[in-house]
Amino acid sequence: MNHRVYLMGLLSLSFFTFQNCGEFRAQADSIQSSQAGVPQFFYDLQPVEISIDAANRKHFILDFVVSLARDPDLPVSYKFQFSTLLITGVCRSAEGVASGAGKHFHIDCLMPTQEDMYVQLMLVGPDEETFVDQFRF
Amino acid sequence: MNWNWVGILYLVSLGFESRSLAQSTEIQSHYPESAFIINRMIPFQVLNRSEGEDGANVTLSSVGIEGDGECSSAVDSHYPDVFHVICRTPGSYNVIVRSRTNGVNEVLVINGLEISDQVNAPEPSDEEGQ
Repeated sequence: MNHRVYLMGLLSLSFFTFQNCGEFRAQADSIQSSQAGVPQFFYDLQPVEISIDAANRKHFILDFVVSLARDPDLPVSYKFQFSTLLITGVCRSAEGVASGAGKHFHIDCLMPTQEDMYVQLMLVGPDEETFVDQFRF
Repeated sequence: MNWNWVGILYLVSLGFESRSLAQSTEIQSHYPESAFIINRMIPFQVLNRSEGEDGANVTLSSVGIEGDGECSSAVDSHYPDVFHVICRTPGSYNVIVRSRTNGVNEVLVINGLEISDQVNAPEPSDEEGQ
């Protein structure tokens, strides 16, 4: 039982460290610098609009484009997850397969708070090559 | 030499000729044109679509840009057949690429690469909730 409590505490501490001390990239950072070694994906995520509505909700519109570095004709699977420091899943996650003209699209998120938004992006190629990146807006 | 052999050699040489003629090198953008906006690094790949061959060896030696705006380019440090263009101002640019494919030098040009300052993209059609 003590082991389980200790393990839970360790996991919570790890998550807290990830949320608070992890190196989240600013919105205008160069995209490819975050990929160590040979990049498997070319991608870019930029804010189109960040506004606050009458109900004090923060509205994000993000512009996203992705491509598989070794072959632009092959599809890429993507998944976006949104959170604040305290709330995970603050917006509906978005996932799908990007190919052709669909490699470029907008992501919409209406947050119930005005805090910073953390975006986790996961990309998966046709050979199961996987890449994860984080952003803060 | 037997005339039959001459004929065969001629046909073989014709085959090589047509094979080299069937090679076509082209520039393909990694991103759709709707994603061509300022301050975005846009990757392009030089593809050699040779008949009966896979993965012809394409190497880029230089990339240059002509235009009135502020635009720069560079060959990718990891993929020798990929180059990137990034523009700080909207406009129409010409991109001149010098490549070498299977030992043959080529100059490829993108005429009128349009870079916009307006973001315009469709919503994803296959979005799923969590």
